[in-house]
Amino acid sequence: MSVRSTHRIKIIYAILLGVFLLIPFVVTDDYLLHLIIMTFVWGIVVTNWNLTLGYGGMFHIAQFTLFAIGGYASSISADSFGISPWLGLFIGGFTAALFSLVIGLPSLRVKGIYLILLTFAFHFGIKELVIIAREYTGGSMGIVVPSFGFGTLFYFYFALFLLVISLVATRFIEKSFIGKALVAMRDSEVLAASSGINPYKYKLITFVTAAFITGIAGSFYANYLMVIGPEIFSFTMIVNGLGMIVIGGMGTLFGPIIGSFIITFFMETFNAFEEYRPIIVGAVIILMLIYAPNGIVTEFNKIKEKLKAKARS
Amino acid sequence: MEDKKVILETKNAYRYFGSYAAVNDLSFQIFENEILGVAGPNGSGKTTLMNIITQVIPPSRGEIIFNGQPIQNFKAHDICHLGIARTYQQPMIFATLSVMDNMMIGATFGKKKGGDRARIDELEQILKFIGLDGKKEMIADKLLVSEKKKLMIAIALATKPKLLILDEPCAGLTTIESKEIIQLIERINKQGMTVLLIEHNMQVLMNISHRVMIIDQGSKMCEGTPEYVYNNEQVIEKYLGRKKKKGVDL
Repeated sequence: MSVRSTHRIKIIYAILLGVFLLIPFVVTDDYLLHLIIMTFVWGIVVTNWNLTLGYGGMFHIAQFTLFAIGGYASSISADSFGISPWLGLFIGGFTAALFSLVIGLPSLRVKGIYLILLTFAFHFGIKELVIIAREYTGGSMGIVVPSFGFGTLFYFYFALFLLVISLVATRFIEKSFIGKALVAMRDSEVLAASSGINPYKYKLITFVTAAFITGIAGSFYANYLMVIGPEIFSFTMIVNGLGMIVIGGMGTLFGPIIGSFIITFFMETFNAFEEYRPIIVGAVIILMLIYAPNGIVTEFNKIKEKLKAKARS
Repeated sequence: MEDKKVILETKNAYRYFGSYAAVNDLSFQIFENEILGVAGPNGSGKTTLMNIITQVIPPSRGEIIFNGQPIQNFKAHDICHLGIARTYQQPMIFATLSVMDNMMIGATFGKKKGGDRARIDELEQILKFIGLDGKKEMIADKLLVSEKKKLMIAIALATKPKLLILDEPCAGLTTIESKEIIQLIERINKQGMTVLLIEHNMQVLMNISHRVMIIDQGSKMCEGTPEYVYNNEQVIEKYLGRKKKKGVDL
């Protein structure tokens, strides 16, 4: 990439960030602002899922497990032990990272369907534990969480801050030698290992890093909504999260965020058809996989390249 | 050759798939700076042997010793760090990366302490040596099959190995492309690299190898100089399928 185009991309990023920073001044409707905050939250979750799934080729479904663990850890620390929600954010992040080790150490040794099944087992196993440990978790009712004590504007900017941190972390990992190892493993794990890459080590590093940020997002989510319950473990959440990545573009930096905007507002638009929403999202994922398997961002890039080639010729 | 230093040896190596022994009590040595050619009929266990040496799959039993160190319990990446690099029969590359980035993977991770210490000028020299210097920015997936095979060798060389294992580098190539690869292997060997070469084409193998080993049903059938192997009655009967002639008629 030339210096000129790198400079141009930086300017585009700055403009985009500026636009997002100005949203609360333009959008005065509180509910719409709430939807945008939720989009940011899902954006953080799927950006980190994409780091492991899209860049690392680890097809796991533990992302919402780790998100929920982060949320529950900070909520329990506040509710049962009176710990500040600020500290709770880090408790959420560290607990999710710790659990990611517990999940990742056995799971990341296997691939494909075995990885899906193992993480699936962890996901629903932990959900049951949450329901059983009702003394701390509130069981199926969930727990009420103390908030940071600020207004919507604070949550908007804080969510945006976490989203930017996620993007910067993803970009940093992508450009680092860890990112190179991930891409190499995604292309050919056998050749990567023969070329000196320890696949297990790099998968685990990425999985734990993504879990830490996801755990913080879970803490933020619980503090923002002031409640967390076992519905966070629902299969719909997993399908929606996958939909965001597939629709936006797996293995792209901004694809999952675009996907989170589409799915969040799509779900809101079809609010009246609540029971059918997962079916609609599932159908959209299938259609995307058939007609644009690489997602919107990749398709957009393809069109851009074609137009450039046409202009050159 | 026997007074030379042994770089790699296997002692009574086995690899089972169920009850079938794909590698069956196989012991052999490869000496420093030589080209050892390995041949055998389809399904004789050549690739399985390479896979157990490089730990793509672990051996079921036996010892594999590299530079005096047993390595049969090592992982594939550790084997690379020790200085054994390999290529595969099918072109296997990092398809979404550029040619240079493919080599960068080998250079960055090929030694135990990973990181971004690869020297571009060194990699460019390897590319020139291999004959891909004009394509360093090209996405690897867009290369021709012969170029992909060369790139596999380049990735392996970027790890700075002591032993290079080549699994049928000429498979699927035209005569001219095969000739290029053979010349390349000779040049690599002349630079002091030990080469373990699996090749189906006996003519190629006999011309390039210092010693040849024929394996059949996972076991060593015969080992020695190309002339000795080519005139071995068992090899003639079971593998070459021709009537015995006097001398080598390659």
